[in-house]
Amino acid sequence: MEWIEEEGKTRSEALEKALSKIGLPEEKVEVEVIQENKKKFGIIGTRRVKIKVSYDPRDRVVVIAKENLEEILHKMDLTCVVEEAERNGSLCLNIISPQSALIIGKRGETIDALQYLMSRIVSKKMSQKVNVIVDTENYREKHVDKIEKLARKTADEVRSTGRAAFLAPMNSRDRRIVHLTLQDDKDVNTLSKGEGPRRKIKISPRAGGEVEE
Amino acid sequence: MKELITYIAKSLVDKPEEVEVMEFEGEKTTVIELRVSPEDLGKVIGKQGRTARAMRTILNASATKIKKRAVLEILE
Repeated sequence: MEWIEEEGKTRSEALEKALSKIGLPEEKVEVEVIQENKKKFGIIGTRRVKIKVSYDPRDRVVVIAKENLEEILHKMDLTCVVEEAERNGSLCLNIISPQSALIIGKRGETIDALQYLMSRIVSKKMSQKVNVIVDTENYREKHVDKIEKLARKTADEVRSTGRAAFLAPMNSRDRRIVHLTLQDDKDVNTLSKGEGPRRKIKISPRAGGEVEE
Repeated sequence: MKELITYIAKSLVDKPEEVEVMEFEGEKTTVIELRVSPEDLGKVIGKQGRTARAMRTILNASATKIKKRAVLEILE
């Protein structure tokens, strides 16, 4: 649990201020009045109520992430619903939309851009690094399958021809999938080459292959 | 599209009040100009321009939907 303190003329004013700061609904927090100053001299003297509002930071991540993603998609003029779930310990936002092809984009570039921006925005608002997964129509899982199949197929080609082959440039996440898929393969080696967005994997025969860099 | 970039930029920077976005609509291409506080420039560009690239990708998806082209310019 985390908490913040807030003051106001009344309990509800203080609570309203606190809720707008942390962006959570009332039912997700616990409120405790720590100080209540009543008017001491008739009308003179101010009335202040000080409260302590406690909440689960994980609730805040979910609310902030969902709200921001919905707002971005809405501003892109897309019809959609966003559902939250947990996946491998991270928050996963699943977009349900008739326009999922547009949300995924060419080679998944739009959904990757959304995921990257969401992680940046949520990390900024929470003042700590938060990873958010953005998915639609099981794209992430299907994509991993596709990369694994491509890795195995290319490894088979390298095995039969005895010649090294390059895969198209990939991001680090995808390259990792290839390395992991082929790490126990006794016939081939995988090695990443090139810099930045052009970094790609070379699959070469293990026996008599070139020396690792 | 102006609102889209304004919203994303404001969510990324330290000084959202200094975010300014202009939209110039052409026949086929729309140019969006983004101006932020000098200290926030790095936040909207990102490491190796990754944040700027992500914003352009999302902007393009949004433009494609209405069969247009959109260009994002980040001004110093």
